[in-house]
Amino acid sequence: MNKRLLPYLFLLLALTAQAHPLKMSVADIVYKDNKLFLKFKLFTDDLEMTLRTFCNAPSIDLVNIGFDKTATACLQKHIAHNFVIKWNGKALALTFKKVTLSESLEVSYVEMESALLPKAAIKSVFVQNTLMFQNLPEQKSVVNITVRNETKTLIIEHTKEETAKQIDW
Amino acid sequence: MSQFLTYLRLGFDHISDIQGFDHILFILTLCAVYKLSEWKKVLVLVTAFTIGHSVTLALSALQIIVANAYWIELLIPVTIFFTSMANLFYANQASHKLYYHYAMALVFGFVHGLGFSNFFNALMGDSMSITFPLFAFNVGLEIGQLLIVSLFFAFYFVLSFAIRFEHRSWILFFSGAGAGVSLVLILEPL
Repeated sequence: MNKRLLPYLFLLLALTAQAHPLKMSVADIVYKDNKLFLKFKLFTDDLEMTLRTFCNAPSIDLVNIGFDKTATACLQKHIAHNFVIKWNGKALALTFKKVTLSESLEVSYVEMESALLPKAAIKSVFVQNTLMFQNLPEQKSVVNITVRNETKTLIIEHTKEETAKQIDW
Repeated sequence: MSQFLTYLRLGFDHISDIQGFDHILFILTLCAVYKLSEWKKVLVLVTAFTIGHSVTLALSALQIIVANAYWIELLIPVTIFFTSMANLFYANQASHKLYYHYAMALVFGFVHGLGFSNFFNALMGDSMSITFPLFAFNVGLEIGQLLIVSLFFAFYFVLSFAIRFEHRSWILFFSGAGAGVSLVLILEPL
């Protein structure tokens, strides 16, 4: 082995080193009492970067200021533009409930819910999810859908040019 | 894709993610001291690591133990650094005497298991049963781990035909790289 190459290889490896990044967002969707309850788990630093770009608002500072009016309005706009859910083929309107930060400020939880759904057996759930893809194209969007204690999971990856998926029940 | 395959793939992708290569680097530094002919010892080593990480992944996923994610992410490169330094110090020692390697694989496996659980717990919804996804996720980790080890020794095999090198140089190369890279990972968040 050419020993002269070793220092350069070490340097290359050291320069590209980074801790194991978790580039993902999670959406938990639960069907209960004829409604859908949605909870998004988004990494705060990723979300902050996304909202600043999406609304052209560099003043958004989720860690130090939190979700003030500008950040909350921008978040709602971002979700409205990037998240669509269809229940048995019909797109649902979602109402924003609240957004909270975890104790460590690392994760932001966004809660939303649908209006009452028509009483019919579930056949399919379609989800289009491009939340934070603009700034983080390498991330995975995990969507857990729970209906009557049965959970099904979708993974949407922008790197595979996926933006939407459907689960049939 | 079935629920089982979904979580299996998430486990596989997590351990084999080249952008976050801490787990890969740890496995490589652990295996670096062995020759291809010592595959039985590698099997014991991989089993010890599997037992270690499976135990803490399950305990953390079931909320029996709670670990601070920041410290775990810091400890993972420490395990790589420690393993690399041990390899460098004992590069001349016959590997059949390196029983401490099995102990390191087991004990450091506990730390890596907590790292896997940070990711796994983030995936889980509040209303989900975790038993089945946990099993599938762990199977995915094992497949990924076996693939990494197989590719590592396949590379060793091919290289040994292409160029002549001493096994000691091989150990020094991987352990030096492991020590250097893990040092950057340790210092980065400080």
